[in-house]
Amino acid sequence: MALLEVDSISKSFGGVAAVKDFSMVQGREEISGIIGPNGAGKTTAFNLITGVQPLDSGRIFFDGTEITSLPSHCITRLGIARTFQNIRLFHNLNVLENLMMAGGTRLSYSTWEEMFRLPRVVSQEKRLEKIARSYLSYFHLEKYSMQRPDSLPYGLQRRLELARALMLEPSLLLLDEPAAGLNPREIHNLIELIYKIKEEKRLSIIIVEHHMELVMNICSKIHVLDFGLKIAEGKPEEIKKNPEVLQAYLGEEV
Amino acid sequence: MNLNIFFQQLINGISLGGVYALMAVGFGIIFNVLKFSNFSHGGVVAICAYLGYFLATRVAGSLWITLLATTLLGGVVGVLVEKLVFRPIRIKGRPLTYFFVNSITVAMLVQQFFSALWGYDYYPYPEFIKKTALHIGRLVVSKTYLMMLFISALVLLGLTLFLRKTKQGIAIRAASSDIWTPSLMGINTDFIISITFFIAGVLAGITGYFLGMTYTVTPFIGSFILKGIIAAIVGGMGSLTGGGIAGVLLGVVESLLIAELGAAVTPIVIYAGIIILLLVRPQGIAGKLYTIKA
Amino acid sequence: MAFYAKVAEVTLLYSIFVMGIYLMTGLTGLFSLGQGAFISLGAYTASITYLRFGFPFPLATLLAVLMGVVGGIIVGLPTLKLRRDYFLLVTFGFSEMVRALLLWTAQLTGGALGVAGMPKLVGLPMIAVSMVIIVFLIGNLKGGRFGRNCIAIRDDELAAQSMGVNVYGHKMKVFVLASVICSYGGALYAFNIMFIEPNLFDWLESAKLIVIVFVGGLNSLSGVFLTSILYYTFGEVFRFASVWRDVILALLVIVIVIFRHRGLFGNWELSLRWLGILPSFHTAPRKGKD
Repeated sequence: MALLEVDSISKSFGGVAAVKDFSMVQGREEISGIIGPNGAGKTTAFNLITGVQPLDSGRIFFDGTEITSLPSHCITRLGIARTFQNIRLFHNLNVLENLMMAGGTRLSYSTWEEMFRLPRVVSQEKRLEKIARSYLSYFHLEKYSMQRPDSLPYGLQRRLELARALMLEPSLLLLDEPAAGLNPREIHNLIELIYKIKEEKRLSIIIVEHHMELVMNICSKIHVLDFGLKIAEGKPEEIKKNPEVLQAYLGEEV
Repeated sequence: MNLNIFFQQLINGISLGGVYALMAVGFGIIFNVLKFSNFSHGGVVAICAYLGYFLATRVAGSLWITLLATTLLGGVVGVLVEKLVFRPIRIKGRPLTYFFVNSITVAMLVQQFFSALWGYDYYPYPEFIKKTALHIGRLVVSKTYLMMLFISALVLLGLTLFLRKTKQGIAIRAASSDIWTPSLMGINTDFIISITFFIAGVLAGITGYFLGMTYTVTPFIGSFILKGIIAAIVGGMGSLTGGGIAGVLLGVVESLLIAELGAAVTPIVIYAGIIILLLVRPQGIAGKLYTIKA
Repeated sequence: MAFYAKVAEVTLLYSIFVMGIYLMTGLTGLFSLGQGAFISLGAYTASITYLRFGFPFPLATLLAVLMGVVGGIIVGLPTLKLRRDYFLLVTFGFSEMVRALLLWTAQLTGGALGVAGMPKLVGLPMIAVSMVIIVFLIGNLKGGRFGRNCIAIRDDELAAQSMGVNVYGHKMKVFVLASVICSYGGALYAFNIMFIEPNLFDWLESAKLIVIVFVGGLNSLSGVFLTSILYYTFGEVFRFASVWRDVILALLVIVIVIFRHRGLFGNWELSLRWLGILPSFHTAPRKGKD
């Protein structure tokens, strides 16, 4: 059974279609990519899947459950995590707390217990901190644990955002332009990192990306959007040869 | 309520509503461009009410000259507030909350300053228009109110023309779609913002003067901004036309309610109405709903 | 001596209000100009049920707290889903509405004359204990999941909801809690000062509470607490200059917002760990550029 099933979703803003009849099927432990020129509706597709914006029409199923009209935080709790194109970390929490914040769904104590800091709260907080620290070392961020995120270099902020998303223990991870602003060396590291987390955490990953090398390298399937419409879908080799894609996207940018 | 009183209150309401409309537009134009709720507008209104009072009682006796002078000074005060209070945090790229904190602090500062300086005394404006009543049929209409209505309408009309026809006006409207994005770095942001605050200040100048004439000047006169804010919400935050129309409506509703239910209950009814309106139609009459961008 | 006890009482009473605002505005970034109204509601509910209906003081206080809950839900429900400006503006309107309501229902509330005749049932010990408990509770909340979610919502609502936080629900919790603190403080106020009137807590008073939070520093509970103590002690000792005090405060705030926007105390937190009995309000110390 497919992990994520998107069934002809549409969304328009002020009469302009941002996404139109978009469908896709994502299997477990699969990496796929969504590509397309600027304004093709790639980020909107992510926003629709994660419930950040309401759909105009269409349906979305995740792990056999319909999530079409669920609020965003419920969708997250079901197991869809995401990162953002323009990194959105919590700058008034330190690096460690950013991860602990995302791990909040793992805590079972109530606000009442928390008010009085009962033993259950203390022990769960300790456990959470340990988990967060293990993620920090997994992503080689442990020495920054007490710093504000905005004091980190850009590449590390991206990595921190990825770590934060994984704290949610998702089964599906949506990456919105993870390579934006990274230099070739960092992109190379990113590709390895994505492979590594996919294998070790048994994740399914969808990547929205401009960077062709990254997408062609690691995605087993690619969806091409143009003006909100899906114009092609297939393996990287097929996409590379598809004349319509070349026309719409590769032709103008590469 | 008999028909006479109804029309009487209607006319009073429209002219008071004109002043509310000026406030709603002054508040709204800054919300449009900088996207924060600018309470300091009430402070500028209060400053202008005092300025108008001193000009009218100490400097010149003419309504038109003092009104004009207050208006222009209001514009200057508006620009000064921007330069001293908002520009420094804008340059440093602070979040919007800090703009709001500074704006509420300015409102507080003005009110406390005048309280400390002149206490809670009342300062009545001189009576410019001697024969205050005009008889139309059986209706008695205050000339002052008519004058206020006329000027408010004229100013709002002028502002509409300015925003639609001039280069600066069009730039302000363009800026209101998003002044924080880099794509607008090409146009002179500083200049656009200065003009916006000047316009808001001018509106505050007229508002302050009219409020001073209608009521009397006290340190609390800035609190009238609440009426403008309500109009801005009802009209739909960010829609100047909506805010203007809602301002007039608010004036009318308020006047009629006061005549029907009394001055004590009216505010309760109005505020309860606002809360219900937001439940049913949060985007207001004409506005769009401001949400956070993904 | 009595004078200093009086100063301490008033200072701590106001600091209770500031703590409610700290939770809401400082941690969560919700601006309410209506907290004064919740103080009034609490004060009036307690006084009237005590004086007119003969309820015992604890029950009257409980009713005041319930009033805070009900008021918080009524105001929060329609506004907290919208952009924060709506919340701010409607709370402003709410405070004016409550004021008008208190004036209008003069038969019950005494209108502009206010309510007097409550016995002085609340002294310094009770205020001080309430204060300590409230600081303790808020400190605990700040150090755990609740506080992290608050700060996350303040920083970036969209990212917070993408991390599984029910933003609307959390804001409701925060707002109701802050309103309860204010209405409880209002009840204490009524039975300490022994006189209340509708204009005591207008929007300006609410604005002052917000401003004190910003002077102290959004991330520093201890800093806000200290600022509040200093401000109100100063105000009570130099009563004759209290209006100019607010002028100075306002100027100070503008300077701080411009030049030291994380507040006087930044991220500093008073640590009681060395006492060995109380936990620190921090989950972890912070460092990094300011």
